[in-house]
Amino acid sequence: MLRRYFGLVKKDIITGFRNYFFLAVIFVALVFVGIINFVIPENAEIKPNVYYYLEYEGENSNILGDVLDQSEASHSNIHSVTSRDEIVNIMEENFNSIGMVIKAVDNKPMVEFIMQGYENQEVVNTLILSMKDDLNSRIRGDIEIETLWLTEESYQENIPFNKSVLPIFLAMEPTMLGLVMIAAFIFMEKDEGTIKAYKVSPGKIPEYLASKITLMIILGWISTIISTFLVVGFNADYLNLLIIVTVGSIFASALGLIIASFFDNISQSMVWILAASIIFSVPFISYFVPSFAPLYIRVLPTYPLQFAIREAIFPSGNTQIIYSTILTFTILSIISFILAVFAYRRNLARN
Amino acid sequence: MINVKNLYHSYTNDENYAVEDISFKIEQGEVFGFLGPSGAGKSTTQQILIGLLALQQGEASIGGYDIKKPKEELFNLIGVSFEHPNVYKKLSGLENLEFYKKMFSVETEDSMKLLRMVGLESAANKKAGGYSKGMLQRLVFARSMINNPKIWFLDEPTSGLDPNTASEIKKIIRKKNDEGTTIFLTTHNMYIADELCDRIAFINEGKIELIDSPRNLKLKYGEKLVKIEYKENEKIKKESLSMINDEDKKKLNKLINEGKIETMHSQEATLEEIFIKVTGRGLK
Repeated sequence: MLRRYFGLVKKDIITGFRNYFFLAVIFVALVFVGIINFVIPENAEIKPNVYYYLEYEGENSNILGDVLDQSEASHSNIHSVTSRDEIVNIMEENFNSIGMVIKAVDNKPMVEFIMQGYENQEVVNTLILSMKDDLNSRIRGDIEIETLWLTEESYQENIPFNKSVLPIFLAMEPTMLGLVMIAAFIFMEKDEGTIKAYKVSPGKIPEYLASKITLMIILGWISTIISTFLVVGFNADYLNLLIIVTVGSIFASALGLIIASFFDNISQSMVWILAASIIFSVPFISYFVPSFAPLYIRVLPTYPLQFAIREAIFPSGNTQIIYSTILTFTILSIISFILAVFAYRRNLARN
Repeated sequence: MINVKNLYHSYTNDENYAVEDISFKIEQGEVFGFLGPSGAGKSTTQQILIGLLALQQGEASIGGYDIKKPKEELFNLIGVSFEHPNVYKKLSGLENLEFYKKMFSVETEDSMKLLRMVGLESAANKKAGGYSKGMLQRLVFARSMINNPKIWFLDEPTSGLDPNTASEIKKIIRKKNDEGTTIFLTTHNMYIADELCDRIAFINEGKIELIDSPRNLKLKYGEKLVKIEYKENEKIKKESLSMINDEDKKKLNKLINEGKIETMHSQEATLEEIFIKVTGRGLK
């Protein structure tokens, strides 16, 4: 079994090499590195705009006014408006915005947050806590918060914007690469009819598919190592990064195999492969606009994947997201691989 | 070695059968030919036997292994030479064989030896994508011998080959058969079937019309003819005369006695003529 598997892998590597798969992957990785390092600016943050209206006129209105004025002065995304309706109107036109109205209830200040509706609970909670914190320290003046960074060297408070794009590239290219590339490989072999010759040998379908997925993993590793090293050097958790890329590649490749099994040529399947790629790319919006994370985005496996990759490239100590993502993708990979084996058995029997 | 009983197959999963009630037995060391025109059901039967098509109805076993649940041992036992070349175009001829060799868990042949046998030694390291159709056909034929098959499925093995190469391929087939290999030969070429097969099955519209040896078929269905050229009124005339028909016999005697015959050849019926007689259609 292992002899057959390694024989298949060797054949697939040679075939992939002679079909310029390796060259294409290296070229794309270098292009992305070039874009990240030389085209995208280091500072270009996409934060939600915050629109506030101070309706409260009680005894603490001066303190509140100071807090908000200072925030507005130090953050370009905080803006004062003149009414609650104005906030709602602005928010309807700009989905990357939230609103805040400070009004009086029983002569005490009360903060009303106006959300778009698709922000996740974590974002809402963080915002409320930060507001409470700020007000408490202003009113009482006795709250001091100290933050101790246990792993100071790994903590990166501000990731340059250009480098922060790298996790998206890694989630899209090396990890999801298999979705498109494996289909191209399969159709090439379908065209040659070699799968028929394989089918009348003692070789098994799982070995055949595993070998194709192995090639995709190797290509994913090459792309990951080149791009990560040229962007962040040695400052990444390479072991976990490669594990994430591996399980992600298995899932995407197995999915590509399943889609390819329903069609006779690449042009027939391309619509579905592109549709799957687009669907899996949607969570990238939440990467840049974290406040936009509705349920239909969070259920997509690429949503945690991008954050797990970011954690592996820019470690902050939150290893939980890495392990949970690896576990999720391991389960998804096993399921999709089993489905791919069934799809190929059915497809070969049908042909 | 091969036992097929009441085999049916429908591509549309209904009663529109591509093969219908096919039954035959092939003994060890026999060369069994499946002769029929395109679309008769030859390839469907072979594809069911080698596991490329599902066995829907009926029973079939190869070397004692039930093909309904084909095991690894079954595929170690068989070799398949496909009609349409299906090799990895980006690999060389040698790489193709070396790869295929690793798929088997039985003793395998030396790849270079096989390439030499089919005359591809000098092109061993050339990418198969650059091979001519005939070279690809020979590569597929060589590949089918890599595991020293005990049962060898050959689908149109000489199709697209020049007469010299075809003759070499036929020699290899005979040699393998002499060594004890059982051969299932699918073809619409009556000459190769006549030359190589111990028994022949005529298949037409999915059904086996008859099974017999080429000699018996000729004796049973053929007509003994003599083809002659003779001189009459200073002109050369050609005629085929039956050796059974009294009129023809008298005419032949007369021509011999008068010394008018220029050339004379005995002529037996071809398998194609017999096929037409049995099925009412040609082999093309």
